[in-house]
Amino acid sequence: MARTAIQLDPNTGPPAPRRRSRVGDRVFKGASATVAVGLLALLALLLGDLAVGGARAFAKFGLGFITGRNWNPVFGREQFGALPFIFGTLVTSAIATVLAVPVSVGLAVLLSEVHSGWLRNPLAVFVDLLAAIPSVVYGLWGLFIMKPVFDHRVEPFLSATVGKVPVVGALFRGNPNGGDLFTAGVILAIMILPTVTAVTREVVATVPRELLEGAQALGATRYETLRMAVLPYSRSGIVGATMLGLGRALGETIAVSLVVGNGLGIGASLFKPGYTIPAVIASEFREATNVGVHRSGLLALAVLLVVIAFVMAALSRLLLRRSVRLMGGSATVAAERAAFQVNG
Amino acid sequence: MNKLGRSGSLMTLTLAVSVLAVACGSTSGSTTAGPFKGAGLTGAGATFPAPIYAKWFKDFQQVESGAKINYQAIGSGGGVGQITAQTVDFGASDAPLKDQEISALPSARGGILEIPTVLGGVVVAFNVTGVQKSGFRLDGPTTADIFLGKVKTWSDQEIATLNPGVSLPSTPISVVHRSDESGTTKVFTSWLSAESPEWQSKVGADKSVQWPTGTGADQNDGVAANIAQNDGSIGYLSFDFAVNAGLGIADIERDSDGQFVPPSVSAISAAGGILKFPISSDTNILNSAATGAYPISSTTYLLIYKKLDPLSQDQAQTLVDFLYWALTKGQAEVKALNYSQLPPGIDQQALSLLPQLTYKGKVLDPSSTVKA
Repeated sequence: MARTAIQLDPNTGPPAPRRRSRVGDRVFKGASATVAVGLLALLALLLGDLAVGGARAFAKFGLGFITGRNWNPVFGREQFGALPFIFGTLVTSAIATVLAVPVSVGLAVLLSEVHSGWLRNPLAVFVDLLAAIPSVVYGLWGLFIMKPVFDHRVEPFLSATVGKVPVVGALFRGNPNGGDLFTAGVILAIMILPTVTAVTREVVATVPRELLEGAQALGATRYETLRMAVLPYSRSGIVGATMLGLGRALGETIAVSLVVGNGLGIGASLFKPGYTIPAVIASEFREATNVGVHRSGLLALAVLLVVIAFVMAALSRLLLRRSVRLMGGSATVAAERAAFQVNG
Repeated sequence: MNKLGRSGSLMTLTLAVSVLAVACGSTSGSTTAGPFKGAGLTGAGATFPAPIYAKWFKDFQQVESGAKINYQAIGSGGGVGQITAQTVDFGASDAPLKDQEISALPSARGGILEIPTVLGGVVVAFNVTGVQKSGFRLDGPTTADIFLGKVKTWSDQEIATLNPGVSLPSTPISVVHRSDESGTTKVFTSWLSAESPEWQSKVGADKSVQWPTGTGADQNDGVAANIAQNDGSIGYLSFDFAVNAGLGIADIERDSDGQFVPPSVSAISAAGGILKFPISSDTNILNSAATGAYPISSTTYLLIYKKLDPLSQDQAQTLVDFLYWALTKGQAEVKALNYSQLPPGIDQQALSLLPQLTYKGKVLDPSSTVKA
């Protein structure tokens, strides 16, 4: 505003710096436009390359590439169907989301609303630190420490208790030994926890004081304030945060690969080995050659993963945008800002 | 103050001495003809022999100080790709080139030489309470049935018949296999295919296959960790890794005489006795009938174009020298890293391949430095 005023009045500023700043502006604008277009071009190029690389597999197997359950890289008997990987990717991500979101929301509320004492800062730092641990470290910890505990204690226990319940129990039956979808989901839950917590915290922090004070003035307890003022106000933001976490879970590679069991199973039991798209790409890409369609099949898988990730990103955008209309903006702006920070 | 001054003068003295030494060194180097110094090379390929190659390249620099050899362990598939694209001076692969891969090579380089360098083996490793870590016996058909998921418990009749007098627990069998693509998997599944028609028809052999049962783990470490964590597990490991993994290792039946052979450096080396030259796409040393051979053994190869013309003369000479050195003195170092050396006679045959390498139409003799 002030800048415009200065430009309207020729007497207030010397003309030289103004001209220089205009040139500077133009250069800056040009440079950032180039970078932005370059980035888009890079993305287009990447997608194009993946699609071209995967075209042979898509052409050979058609729709069967998505619905097929066999993944046979043996030269001369090649057969590629992505369904087990799509299944594994979605299931592990879903487990991660179901486990991580309630904890994250609880943590976020604790950190920004309830607890203002000695625990708050160390806990916040600790949660942020979780985000800084490289995923291979999670993977090694998962493989050598968490997986044995799950194989010998947690999963047999679940199998003996929840496994007896009809319908839901089917998820928790079967041989708990070895890597499986459930263990991978739990590792992922720990990995996406900091992301979801950070975004949710930003969202919860934007709940207007008047709302909180209003609720308290009406005689609401802390819990009631939370349930009736804080959570409804931040609901859409929390959904956005969840989508972000889901996005990270979909793309996680090495940690999942170490504990998921890398088997082609599709079934009700979470205690069976599964396989995810990023994990199979990482496992097989190095030695896959173009002699058959193996490499093309892996590139086609990458295309599928990008499509799934795009759908998730679009969904999260949609949800965030909807909340702009509902809330008048502030919570969502904060959520979007946080989202960018996390993604960056 | 005094102290400082003294250390200062000491430093000057050291400096002067070292300058003198450098000067002397350079004069002696430039005036006399001196031994061949070697030149830098790059290679890429198999991960299995990467540790021994790294040691070889380091030790070879003691022989030819200029021979800085940069090797990227990107996997056999990558090695074949890089040498086909001529982006490296030599490639490395755990499997001989397929016919399709040979026909994809540039014709101007006069064909490719596949030189076996070291041998390795694949072992069947297990962890079952109640079964001794050594002396447990398996044969090909039984191993295939286990990995097909047909033999489900350790007390199964098929296993019991092979192990008379051993009390086997009824623990269920958990199969662990590699999830990454690996030459180890190729060797193991090739052996299973040779032993079991059912495996051959249902699964087949390659660097990764569609496993009928079990969990997949990343690399040897992952497989070993999975076996160690769960009672009743069985899997396969590269011999050089298995030696230090502390797991049970099965003796494997040799088809030629029905003996059960524990894997060892010498038994794997013996298996190399059946290697035939030139190497062709179906060359392998599985189920070797050679005396003392371990059945699940394999070779790894260096891939070098016969016409070395695009290299500099020094590079071509260095490459020939290195190959000569690796097949002679280098073989003695192999055992220390749990690889197996080429058996006597085979190393000589491999050496006799070297004169096929030419530079601008001339055969390069190994330098006197490596022959000494």
